[in-house]
Amino acid sequence: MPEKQPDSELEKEQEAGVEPDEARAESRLLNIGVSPHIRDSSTTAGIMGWVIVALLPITAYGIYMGGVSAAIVVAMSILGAVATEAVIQRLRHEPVTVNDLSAVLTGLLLGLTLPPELPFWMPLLGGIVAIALGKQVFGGLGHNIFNPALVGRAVLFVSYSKYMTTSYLFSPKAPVFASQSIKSINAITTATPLAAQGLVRKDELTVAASRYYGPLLVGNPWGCIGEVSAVLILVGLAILLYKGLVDWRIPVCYVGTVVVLSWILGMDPLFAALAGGLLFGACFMATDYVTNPMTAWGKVIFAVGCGIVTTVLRFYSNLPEGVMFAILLMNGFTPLIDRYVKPVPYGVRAMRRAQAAAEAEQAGEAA
Amino acid sequence: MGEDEEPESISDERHFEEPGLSIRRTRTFKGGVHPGRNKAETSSKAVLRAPLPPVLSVPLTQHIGAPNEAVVTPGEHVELGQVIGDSGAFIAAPVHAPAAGTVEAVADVPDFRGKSALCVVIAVDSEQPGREASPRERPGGLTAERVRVVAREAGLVGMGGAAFPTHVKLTPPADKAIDTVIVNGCECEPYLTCDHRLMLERAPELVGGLRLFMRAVDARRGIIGIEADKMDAVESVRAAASSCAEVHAAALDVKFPQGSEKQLIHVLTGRDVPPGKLPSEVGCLVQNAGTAVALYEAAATGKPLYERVVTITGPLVARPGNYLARLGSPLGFLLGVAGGLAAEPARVIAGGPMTGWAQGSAQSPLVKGMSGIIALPLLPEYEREERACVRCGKCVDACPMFLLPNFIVDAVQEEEWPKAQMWGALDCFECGCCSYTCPAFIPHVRYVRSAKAALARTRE
Amino acid sequence: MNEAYRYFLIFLGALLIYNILLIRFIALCPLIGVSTQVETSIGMAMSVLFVMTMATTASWVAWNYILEPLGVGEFLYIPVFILIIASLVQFTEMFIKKVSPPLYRAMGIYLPLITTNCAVLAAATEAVKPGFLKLNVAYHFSLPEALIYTIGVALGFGLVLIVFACIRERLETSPVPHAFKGAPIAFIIAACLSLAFMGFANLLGL
Repeated sequence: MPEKQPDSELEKEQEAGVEPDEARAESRLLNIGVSPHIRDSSTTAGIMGWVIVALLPITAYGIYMGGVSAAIVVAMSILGAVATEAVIQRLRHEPVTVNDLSAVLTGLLLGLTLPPELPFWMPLLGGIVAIALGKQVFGGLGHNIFNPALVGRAVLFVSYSKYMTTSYLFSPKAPVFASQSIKSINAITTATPLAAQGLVRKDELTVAASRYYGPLLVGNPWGCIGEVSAVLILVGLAILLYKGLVDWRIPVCYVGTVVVLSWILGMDPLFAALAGGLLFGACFMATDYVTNPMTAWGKVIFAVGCGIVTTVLRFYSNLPEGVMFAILLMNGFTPLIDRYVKPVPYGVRAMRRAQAAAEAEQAGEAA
Repeated sequence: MGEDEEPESISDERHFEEPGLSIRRTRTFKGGVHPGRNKAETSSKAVLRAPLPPVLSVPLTQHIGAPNEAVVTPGEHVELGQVIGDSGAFIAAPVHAPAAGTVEAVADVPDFRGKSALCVVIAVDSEQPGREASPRERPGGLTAERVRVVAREAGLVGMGGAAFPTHVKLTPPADKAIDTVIVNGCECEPYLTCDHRLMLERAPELVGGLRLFMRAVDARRGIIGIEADKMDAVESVRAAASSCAEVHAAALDVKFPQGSEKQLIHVLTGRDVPPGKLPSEVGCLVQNAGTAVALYEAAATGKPLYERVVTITGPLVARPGNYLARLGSPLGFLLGVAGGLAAEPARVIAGGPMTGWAQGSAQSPLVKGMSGIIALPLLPEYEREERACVRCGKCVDACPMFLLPNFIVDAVQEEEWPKAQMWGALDCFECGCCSYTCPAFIPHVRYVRSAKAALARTRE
Repeated sequence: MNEAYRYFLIFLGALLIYNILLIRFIALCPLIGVSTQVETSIGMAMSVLFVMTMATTASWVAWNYILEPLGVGEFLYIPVFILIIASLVQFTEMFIKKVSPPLYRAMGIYLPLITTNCAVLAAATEAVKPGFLKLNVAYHFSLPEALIYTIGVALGFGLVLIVFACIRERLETSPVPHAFKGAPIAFIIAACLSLAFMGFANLLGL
């Protein structure tokens, strides 16, 4: 409906039936428009671009660790996402806005949360699903309820769980596999839930956990492409925070909640923070603008909710990891949070205080 | 000020020890944005007097309130400072002839809002007699009622842009006691430096004006709020106010819109004006620095408001600076005084770049509330089209009124006017912070204006 | 298994793990039909909680003291439960209308909608009859257990309904493709939420 809005004061007046002033139209050299007449330099494409830049180190390292197949996975998911966006926008006779980079970012995020050794069509399908079902069906950029990359991933996860769970070998439940070679992955997959049960015991975990700080921080060959190094994820987060693109509350509250709850439940807290997809999810997935609440307190509730669900799923379900489900679930709760957690407009508190005081006074007089 | 001030007038230390009257430590408010200042070009240059244009078009109504009627007829000769437009209504301020000359016509001329306004067109005499100062009484001896009369007779209005008649502001409702008068010297808009120069060059008059405001509403303290990038102004005002203990100069954080009435009251006193209420509700009166100087001048010399200092600047202006110009001078003429436009097309803004009005005509005249004329080159932003909101929340963080601008936009796009009101469209004072930060180029201010217009229509 | 923990498991299972709307896809009619506004969803959720609790109590009594002793439960329970629930709801409606008009205004319009709702019948049946869930595969819920189970189901229903309504309210202003407006997009949202709820599968071994 924006085209219905009068484009300038001039047109607004014409709509209202006022004759345009001749003198005013005298100079076409004077440009008119609504205030403010200066703008911040940020643009949607710029924001998406910087998030992609923040993801580049981890992408490069993930491809280095995962080899050609990892590169194919990332490329295919980006291709699937961008092509789907373009095709759907063309079909809907809308301007194709691939150049705002949001589809590229969705594809990249999806690719980084997939294991490196997938058949090429699987990330392609994930990219298509992410954009078609996760974003365009809701009306495109800004209207999706769920993080599109996670929708794509969740669909792949429930459809091809055998392929997908290989990514979770370094989940918080299965540190024991860290010492195994990557070649034995397929053999181990089916044993994951069983082996995990024994490991949630406190003593074993704390002993086992500290041995894996090193690999988790700088080079973990057993996770998804984007989970290979916690240090590089934090580098990406630092870029986003420095550019003011994400709210610190979400990653901090999310990881903080998981760390505290895991510590209470007897898991090594640092291991809980570093293992699995938590850091990647908290820094890049949960911080997606469109799918988290608008207000600061809303973001805190969102992030703490993600943390609680993640921890519960890690400890009490037979899924190896709960980050994806936790964020998807809280995405669903975002409109609810936004509806009830709103900033109080300026002066309203003062007004309520004054009203309360007046009522108290009246009550006092009546008594 | 000084010699004509009675020392026993209103200085009283005790008031500052009373609870609820302390100046808060907080130096800023929540929200707001930090646009580039662009003030260095003009802030160090002394105010120059602009020459008189051959023809002045003086809008009859330069205030918010009841419209004025012309009290002169075409062909009549007017003297400098003669009343040319007035109204019997209370909420109105008279308009005076800015120069001696002959009234050519009373006609519509494009005004700065992009509409047209009824103006008295005066062909200026080539010989201009100097105005004789006519002090009627010493400013220090004025009663509250006299201050209001002086303000009304001089045609004073808020000179920061709002242009609300000053004598009306000085007449608070009987049940509201005013304890604090705030003079707004923030000048938080980029580019503008006219108040800065006034505070440097006319600090004694400014403090004198503030004390007259305080007398008029029987306030016990006066605060001059100045952004901390103008420490020289803070020093100058402090020096001028050193003899009166009830007047303070406070340095505030540099942030837009620090100079907005409600934000300023919040920062200086910790009080919040309830929605839809006036500052008198919380015992405050806010006046612009320029208005304070003008009031003192009117009281001391009987000079009505027929000229003002205006900042003429911008990348396209050859000789940026602050000029003391007569009201009614066409903007095109004033731009010529400052060296003319270096390139066209340009966006010429009356007021500041955040809240000012883009000019469609070089004919529109200078008015009492216009603090700047800024010529900007066409920025690529003007051409960018509005894109989808990505809910980044920048507008929510920036809104100094704690509204949800993107929700207002949603409601307006659906033409759900009550919903727009629910999200606070009527509480918005159009500072433009939301549009300034928006990465999707959504013109929130335009949406808010259409919501306000639609809600006004439904009320009728 | 200790008693409190068992109650907790029953409640959590009913609320999340076997969520009646998103995991078992029962009662899709109110999910699609009533969830366009948050206020109506809250009213609906309250009414369902109220009716389900009553229906389960009545059905539990009927099963344990009439149907089981007579040995006719296996083939008569559906008509009997429907009859009990429908008449109970109708009587309640009349009763509330007479006794508490404000409560009637808040819940009244939803009560007839729920009279023969499948969710109410499903909750009553599962809470009363053994063999429907892992939770009571081989044994009868006691009355407190049946009630806790029912409250869990009703709260799970209400939670999802309200979350759903908030999502749909937000989508009201979105340019959803014409073909997907209304029920289709609602089903897609339900599918996505269901994906998220699948994470709870097998939680705590349930």
